Amino acid sequence: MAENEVSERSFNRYWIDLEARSVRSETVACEDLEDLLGGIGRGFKLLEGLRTDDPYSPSAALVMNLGALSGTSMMTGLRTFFHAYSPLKRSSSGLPSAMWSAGSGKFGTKLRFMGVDEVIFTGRCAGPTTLHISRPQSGGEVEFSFLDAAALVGQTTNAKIQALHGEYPDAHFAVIGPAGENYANVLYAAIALSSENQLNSGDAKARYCGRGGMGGVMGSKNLLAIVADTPDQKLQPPAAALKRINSVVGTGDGSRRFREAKTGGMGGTWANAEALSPSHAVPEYNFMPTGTDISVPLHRKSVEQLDEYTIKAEACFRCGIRCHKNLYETKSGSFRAKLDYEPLVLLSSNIGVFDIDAICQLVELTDQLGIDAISCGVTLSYAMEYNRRHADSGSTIAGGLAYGDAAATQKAIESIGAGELPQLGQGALRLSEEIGEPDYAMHSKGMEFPAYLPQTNPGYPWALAGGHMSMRTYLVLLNERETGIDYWVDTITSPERGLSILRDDLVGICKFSGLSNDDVSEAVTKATGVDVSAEDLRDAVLRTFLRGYRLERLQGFTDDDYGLPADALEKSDAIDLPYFNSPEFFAQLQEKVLAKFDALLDANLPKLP
Amino acid sequence: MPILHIPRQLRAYCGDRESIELEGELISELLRDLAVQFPELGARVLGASGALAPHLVVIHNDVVLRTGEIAGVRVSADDELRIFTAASGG
Repeated sequence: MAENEVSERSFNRYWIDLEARSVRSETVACEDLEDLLGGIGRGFKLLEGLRTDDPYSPSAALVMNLGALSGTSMMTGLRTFFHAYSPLKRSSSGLPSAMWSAGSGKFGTKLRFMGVDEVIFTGRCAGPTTLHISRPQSGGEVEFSFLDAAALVGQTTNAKIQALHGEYPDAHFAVIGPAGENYANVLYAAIALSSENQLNSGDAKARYCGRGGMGGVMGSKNLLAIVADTPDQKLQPPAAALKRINSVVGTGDGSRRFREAKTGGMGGTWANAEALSPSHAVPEYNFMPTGTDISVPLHRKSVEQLDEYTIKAEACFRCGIRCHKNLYETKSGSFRAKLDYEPLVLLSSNIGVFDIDAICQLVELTDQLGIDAISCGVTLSYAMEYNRRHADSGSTIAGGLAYGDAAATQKAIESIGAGELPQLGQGALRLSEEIGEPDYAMHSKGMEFPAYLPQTNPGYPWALAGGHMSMRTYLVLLNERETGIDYWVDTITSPERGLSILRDDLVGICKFSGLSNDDVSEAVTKATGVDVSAEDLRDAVLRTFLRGYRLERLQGFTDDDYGLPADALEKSDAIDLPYFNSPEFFAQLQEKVLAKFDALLDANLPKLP
Repeated sequence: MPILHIPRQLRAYCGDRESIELEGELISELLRDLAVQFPELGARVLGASGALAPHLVVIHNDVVLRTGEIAGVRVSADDELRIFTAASGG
């Protein structure tokens, strides 16, 4: 990659002061590859200069941006990123951590059509506000209007999106749900991005920036919705330029796991439940598997056998993978829920619920309220486990919420979204501190674990933004059965292994595309006109991780913050995988991984002034 | 001889080969040959019973076959097969 080629490129950045309702635009010359790639590469650079001790302060920033391939003709290039200091993820010193969450849908494509590459929000609107961003197809300046959003207050994510769609038929939308409006009492609120399928069908089929409470940060700014309003245009670069790579995305081996059987696929992330079950590695009862077949009713095959439901594979805008496994009622044709592995398991077996109708209800409820299903599910399972342990003493929490009680769980989620159950809305870390029982609170750094057992994944503590989105170590034991320290140190710290999953968070494509670095570098080269190699991408991934790691340290993260809950380090006879992640193993691993990252930091990033 | 393509994460157990030639007329025979040629790979691909591990699938002529579905499936000398992990997140 030639540095002069990068510096000849630029991007459009907008600073919006929500209190003053002022917008300042600038065309920024790219300083480096991270600026060119965008996404978290640029987001972390920005957050280094925008540190805060209160993510909900009006002065705290919320950054919205695109990756180099977002909104292009690259299949799955649909990601919009939100970056901020998280209300959920924090160090033991109490300081919030830099965080991001990304979602697909077509909102980012509309931003690309308008040339809006990055927006930095500060301040707080005086009242509930919709930000309307528009640009006529004929060109001209991007216009920003601040509109009264009082009519949207309290509405679900889908209701907000459908109401806005009625007003702005050419637009796509980023909205928060009631949880984001009640941000003070819900630290894991999400941002919903509208999809074509959602606008066409009216069904609640938004895509979610779920992790880390970005919806709460948006809510704290009294910003309920962002409208990206411009007519569709031709995607760039011309589709022919990316034809080969798009064919690999839609039909290649990388996306095979997420496609349907009729296209040589394996059925989506939902298939994980079936694949992990024989090893008893599906989370049950707060990540403590029973070693039984109790979770079999959750398998896709089991649901397919039920006459009352029909599963349809649907897709994001122009995506051939069709990873959305949407469940419909066969008789009425009504949409029930999109069943991905994470929300499915964390709102079913992990809270002792096995009835598919109830599970659909819970999954759909979290989506509609704009709640991160992962954080919510794990906080619920923590509360249920606490109540199980304290049932005899009667000193229970959250109304005695118990494993398997789907009706009470539904009420609890409704209360969380309404901001009426702050005890659970604060997440597992803070709840466990409050009641003094941290050993079975299943999180690292305040980020609740996704649906892969921490007993099998010592890499969780180094995930920057949630354990299955930002550290590719969650299935390593299942596949490779390795238990040595040096092996795990390398797997966690290598930009070709654990860190490699961050690449798509720079460029803006979906992690399900499963492309090689060679293919992605070719796509970036065609989209930006800058010759970017696979090695350039790998190096940018490493530097970006290290920036995130440095930001954690700057926000008070100590060595002890990179930990796992004590119960996750205990041997479980139920799990049919090698036991290796003992307290002694993890202590050694922690020391070696931190030493390696500290050394990589010194070698790869210039010191901050 | 039929060729079996090896996923990236398992190549370390077969000398970093991207694919290997295997002997047999049935998929189950190919897998047995795999375990003989590359015992470390076999330990990760086959379960305790000697059958394909339940978290893996074999792709044969673009058909996904799970462990209970490969018994009796014949292969031709010029067939190419792939092993995949059936679990993946992100």
